[in-house]
Amino acid sequence: MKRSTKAAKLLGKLGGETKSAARANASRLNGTKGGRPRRRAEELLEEIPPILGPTLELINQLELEGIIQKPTIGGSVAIMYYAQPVKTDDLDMFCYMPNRTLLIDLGPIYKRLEELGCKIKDLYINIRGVDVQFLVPANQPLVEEALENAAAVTIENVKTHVFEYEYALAVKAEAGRAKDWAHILTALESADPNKEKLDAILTKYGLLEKWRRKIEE
Amino acid sequence: MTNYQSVRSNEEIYKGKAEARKKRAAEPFERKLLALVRMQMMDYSIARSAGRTTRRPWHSEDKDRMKKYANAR
Repeated sequence: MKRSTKAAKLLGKLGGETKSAARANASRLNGTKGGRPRRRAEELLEEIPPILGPTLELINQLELEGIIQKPTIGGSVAIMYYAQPVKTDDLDMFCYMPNRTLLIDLGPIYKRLEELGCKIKDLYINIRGVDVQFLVPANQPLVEEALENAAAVTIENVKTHVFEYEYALAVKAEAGRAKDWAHILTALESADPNKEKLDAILTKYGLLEKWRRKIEE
Repeated sequence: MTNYQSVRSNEEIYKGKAEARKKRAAEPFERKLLALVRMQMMDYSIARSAGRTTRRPWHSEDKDRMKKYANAR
């Protein structure tokens, strides 16, 4: 229903009520008086500066330069992509390095980002205002499989990859810290994973029993 | 003291909360990111007022941006 029609209805012109509350609501909808006019969420988002967009653009640049391969959002932000938001401090970017050796050297990533004006803070690197941690799978078959099956998405007009929900949950379960389980429980309250797929992943990596003990108890 | 009694049962309240969570999860990711930054801002200001050290919110160096995030509804 159009805003003006809704406002007219509230004012009784189309058979609605004419209480003072209805008049106040109508004036808000029309934007004439009685506070700010109500705005749609999409309109509001257009005015908000992008949060992750510039960060992801720079990370994609690293991929183009051949420093990293297939950067993929994992961790809490990946779960948040599918479930309700929870507080987290950093963005976990999983990726491959071009030369896959036993010893993983993140030096080239940090060196290039410093050249591009990013600041290193402890384990994290601040890329365009967002604290990012790069994680390269080292003998972690679950993470490698999650990377292989990552979904291609567009976030704030930037193309990137994000772990599928079931893999993001399984990687969290594998990490197994108290805060990881707390986050899993919060996520499961708001979005249901594909149970068959999740069970298959958990079974494959020997996590099903642990999962049942923690989640289904 | 009040004699107010809720007309909603606990079950109804829990159901409402569960529905709200699902609704929140179905929102656009950009909106969830905004919620995340606002949570970081809240956490930071609580920690500061309690004298604890904590990580700064994302984009905290850009004051104009922080104002926009804080005022967003």
